[in-house]
Amino acid sequence: MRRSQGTGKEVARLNLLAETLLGGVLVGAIYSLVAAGLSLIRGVMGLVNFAQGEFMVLGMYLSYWAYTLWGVDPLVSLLAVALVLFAVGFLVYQILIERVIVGPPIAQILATFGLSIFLANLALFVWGPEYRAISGSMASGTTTLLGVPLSVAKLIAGLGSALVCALLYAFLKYTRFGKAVQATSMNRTSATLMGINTNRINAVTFGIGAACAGIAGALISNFYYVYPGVGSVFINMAFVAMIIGGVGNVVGAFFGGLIIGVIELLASVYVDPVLKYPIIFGIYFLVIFCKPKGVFVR
Amino acid sequence: MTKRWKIALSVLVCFAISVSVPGAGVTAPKEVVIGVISSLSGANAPQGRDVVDGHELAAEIANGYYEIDLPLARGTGLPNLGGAKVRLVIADSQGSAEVGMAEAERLITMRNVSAIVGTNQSAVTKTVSQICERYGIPCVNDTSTAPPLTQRGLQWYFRATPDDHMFVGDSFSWLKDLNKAKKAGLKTLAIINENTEFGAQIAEVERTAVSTQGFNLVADITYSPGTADLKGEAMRLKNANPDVVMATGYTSDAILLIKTLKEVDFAPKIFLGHRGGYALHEFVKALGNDSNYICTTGVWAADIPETNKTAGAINELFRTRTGRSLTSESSRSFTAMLALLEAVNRAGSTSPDAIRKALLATDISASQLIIPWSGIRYDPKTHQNLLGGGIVTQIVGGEFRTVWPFQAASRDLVFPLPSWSSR
Repeated sequence: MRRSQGTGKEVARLNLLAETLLGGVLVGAIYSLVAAGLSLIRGVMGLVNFAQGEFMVLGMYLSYWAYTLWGVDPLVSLLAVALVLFAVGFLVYQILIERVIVGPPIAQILATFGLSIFLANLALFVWGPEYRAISGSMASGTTTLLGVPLSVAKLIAGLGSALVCALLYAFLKYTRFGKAVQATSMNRTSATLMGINTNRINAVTFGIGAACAGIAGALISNFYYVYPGVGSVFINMAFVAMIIGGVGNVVGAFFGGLIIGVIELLASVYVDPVLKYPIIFGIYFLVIFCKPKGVFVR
Repeated sequence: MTKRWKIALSVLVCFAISVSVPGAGVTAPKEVVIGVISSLSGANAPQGRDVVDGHELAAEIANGYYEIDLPLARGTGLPNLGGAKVRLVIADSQGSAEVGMAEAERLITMRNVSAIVGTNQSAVTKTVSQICERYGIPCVNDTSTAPPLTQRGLQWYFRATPDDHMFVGDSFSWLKDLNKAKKAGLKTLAIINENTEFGAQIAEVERTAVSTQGFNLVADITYSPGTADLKGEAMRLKNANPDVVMATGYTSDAILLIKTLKEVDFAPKIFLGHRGGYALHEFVKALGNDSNYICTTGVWAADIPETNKTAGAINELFRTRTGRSLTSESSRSFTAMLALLEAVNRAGSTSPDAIRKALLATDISASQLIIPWSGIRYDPKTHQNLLGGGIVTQIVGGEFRTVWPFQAASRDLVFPLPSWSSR
């Protein structure tokens, strides 16, 4: 009897751990996708895109309105949202970033920071300070995985983010254009001398980065509230993921996001929820001091 | 005497009369300028907007003529100031204590406001009231409930809303009434709160109350507001399995917590929010049916107009202006603003000192209010309204309905909270 009680407690403990780890991996995958776009942009053109969170918000609103106005499920409109965000990113580069990319770093920071404030307030002006949420979409309800109860929307978002990160990696590794992006990231001058149109590479990269954020926004709109200021909630985590993974390293950003997600949930469940951010940012500082190029860079 | 001399003498005589007769030559101000500070952007914008909508309606009631039994309604403008109109100057705190402080200074020094009303966040009220104290400008607080705000010995700060001691006290009275009258068997309790002034102060009051009220605290969770994920917090609640969850948070966290509790499939017997995000229409709108059966402390419910005709009339005016019904936030901000304007009218002056004296002499009866308070009378020392009161509401069909005090309840409490799978 006592033994069966002990086994029961052990099972409960293991279930809690499994739920924590799985939950952490799924939310971490979202951070990964936002961070991958951020890292790609930073790696290729040396620019920190503070507006990445606002691109994510734009993706959320596009999904929300497509669902509310025309009944198009966020999973169906996903590709269209990605394309729109790519176009937005491409245009933002042509109109704004191209002008500051050759300027001093402070000009670049102010440009993307200003863009972030502009987009957040534009969203507030256009859509108002109202919290919205999608309900009854294809990705709703709960399921169990390895005996752990999970939200279907979060499961799809986590798997979707991982898939997009994998596609991004394959694109960079195996396509001609991807190799040109990598070459630009490694040495811009040499890439230019080799005949690569680095300005075009920049514009497309910025578009891809924005599309990553847009896809993340579309995926989380299934289970998260939609609000103009929601970008700032995720962008901080994405920055930490990027630093842990190593700036410019898409694979590193992916694993950085997963690490952050798992640590966040482990800290909430086993330490104290109020300490989760101090722990995460403590790790961030540790990485900055000990491995400034990221933990995945040899 | 030439014509020119006659004119000069006449002007001199007129001037002499004007300075010798008391009151003559002093014209009543054409308008009374009141500053309003609220969070109109950032995560708390919905709450801030709701609160300001209440202020604006109160100013409209004072400025226009309305056949309603409220102070200043039957008449245009403030009669004791020659019908002067009220003009509100609205400032955005962005939810930041520092920005709120800067805005208070700007309103006082550049916009010459006679008083400031606000704010919807205790942390912002703390700094704004200090600026008002420094400049000697009345600061009337509408919805901040942190108890220490009235314990600082400030001379210019007045609070119309009841504080957390009263709201938390109500919560425990309700739980004990449920145990007594309905044999609810509620024993264990969990606290979950965000860690700004608002959540931290309520949690502090709750911790003290739990043991003295005979309940067992099984989880005490604090989190940072605006967090990306509340899954760990929800799992802790599920693990502790309390009968009652008492939650304090602003809109985004309130929505996220309920969504996450559904995800981890945990429904306590009672989920009680302490106003903030839990008392707003945005909470109901964003969650839809998942907001049903959540309870909150407050001062407003959809059934109040059924027993208070004045409240019904004001609610209709509010709906016409905003498309929404009043909430515990907007009904309190409306009340605080109208009580201030009533004091300004009694003062018969826009001088901050006269307004302060009039505020101290405020004595508004329950029949002149739209919310279930016994009246408004400020404590001469702390300046806390001594006659405030509260109710407990439950969301049913998207509307806040009174469930306590039992004699004021328009329907029975849905108890226990139905499981997520049975909805």
